[in-house]
Amino acid sequence: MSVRLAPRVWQDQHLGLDSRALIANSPDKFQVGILMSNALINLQNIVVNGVDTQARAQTLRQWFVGRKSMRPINIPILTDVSLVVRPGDRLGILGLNGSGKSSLLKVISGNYPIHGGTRQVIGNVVPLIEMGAGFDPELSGRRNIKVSYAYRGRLREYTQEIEQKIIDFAELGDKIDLPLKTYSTGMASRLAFASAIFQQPEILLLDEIFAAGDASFVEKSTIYMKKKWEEAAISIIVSHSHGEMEKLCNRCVIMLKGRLVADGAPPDIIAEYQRMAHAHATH
Amino acid sequence: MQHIETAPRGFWPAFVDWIRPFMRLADRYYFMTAIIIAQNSVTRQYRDSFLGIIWTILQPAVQIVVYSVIFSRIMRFPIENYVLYLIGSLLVWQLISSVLLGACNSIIMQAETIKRCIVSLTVFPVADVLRALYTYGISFAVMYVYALVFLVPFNPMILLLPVFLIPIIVGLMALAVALAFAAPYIRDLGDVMTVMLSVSFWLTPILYPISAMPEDVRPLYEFNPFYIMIRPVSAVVHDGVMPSEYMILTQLGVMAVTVLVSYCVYRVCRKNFVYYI
Repeated sequence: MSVRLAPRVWQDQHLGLDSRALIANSPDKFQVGILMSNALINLQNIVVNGVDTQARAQTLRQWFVGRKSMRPINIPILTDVSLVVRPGDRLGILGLNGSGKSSLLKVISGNYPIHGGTRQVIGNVVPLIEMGAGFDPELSGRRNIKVSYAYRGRLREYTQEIEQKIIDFAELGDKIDLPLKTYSTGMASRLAFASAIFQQPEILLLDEIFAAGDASFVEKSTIYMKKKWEEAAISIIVSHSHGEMEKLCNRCVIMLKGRLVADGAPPDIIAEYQRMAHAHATH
Repeated sequence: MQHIETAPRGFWPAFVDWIRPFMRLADRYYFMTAIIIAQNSVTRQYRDSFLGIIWTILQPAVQIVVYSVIFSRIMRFPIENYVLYLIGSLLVWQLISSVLLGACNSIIMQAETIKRCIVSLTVFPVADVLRALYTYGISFAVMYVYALVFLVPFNPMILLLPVFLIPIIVGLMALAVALAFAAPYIRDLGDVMTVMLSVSFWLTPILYPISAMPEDVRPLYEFNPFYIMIRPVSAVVHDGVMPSEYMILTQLGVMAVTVLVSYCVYRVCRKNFVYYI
């Protein structure tokens, strides 16, 4: 083990991180298999800009009448974000609303193209960012499972057994062949959850701990989720629940106005974030 | 699975990068995804209506009846089997125009889904083409059987129809992708398309045969890409003859230009696309 770790430690020091500290802080179920994984997220100086399409259309119209635009067209979403995440990292991202946490996840998952910097992601990324994307209320539950696999580009993995597993997990039984619009909210989100989780992630991205439905399903899904969280080589969560984060993570970062402002061990970072949020609230 | 985003250096890496999206077309899961999306949109449209799929046939059938009454009985076009002529040209025009109109909205309308999904977004316009093709197939089959029963004898040339539809389908898929990816940047594209198509409808020999036009105007039609695309289909369906080499080559030429231009538009637009929808 030490032989394998030696170069890694050197690399991490090179990048300003100390993986020995991370390993010391890691949860009890830390697996050697994870360390052997070659999964990696390497973001360097990432810049992402959004576009105010309304301002842009206005600009063109005003250009015709010879006036200058009032509003800027580009909206900075992420500015100069550098982040290296290695196997074994259980990363929590903290930040106020609109600070760019979810955008950062979307850059990692590849949904957002970048405007500057370099992005390197090695490993099977499973973003459980927004479950039930593309669910169509007119179609049957069974059909929606297939659609969600298609939209995630994972049709290759879609089989009868997976479908049955999903139906069983969501506890939908015969109702699976009814249109989704006849489902209750709880049933629909159970289906969304179940059809998203039967994957083997090397890099797991979570936007808040997902829990829906009645108490027993919440417990079942939380247990399952935590298992996935432990199994993945790299796990990243965006959350506002500090308690969860302190339990789950061995590293935390803070985002502020599209920048990464702090990086370190969870207790310190959470305390820092609470100070920041408090200052923001009383400001 | 490794993904590094950096600009390729050197001629060959750049070339491979340039043709990579075409390699995706060899992936059977890509087309399966497109088929699933197309099936969904068909199901969604007809699921709760009483006549369901019959509407797919009824709508073009009524149009053909109306046009044939107006143009062959009232305007008296000098053309044999006018209904068959409409089956050859009008149905293809409807295929083309429905795809081009739909493509401008295909991604904008589904913005919320698209922002979250990970599959290549080109499947959405490609699915639109498949869906329009399905409608075309059904209405063509029904109308042609009708024509066989009541109007004309069977002509084996019709078996070549799929061959001459291929350039149209390929061109349409490319153009649909380009329009779908350009539309978020230029929101007016949908309106431009509506106007352009309604003008082109009358500038293209769809309701009238090219022979109805004066001799000196006809060469101008060689600049109408819609006409060039539809011409071989019309020859096979209505005239029942093999299209001339000239017709086939011009059709392939228009297809090639469409694909190339569309691909360039796609390359330019795809980068920041997500931020505009």
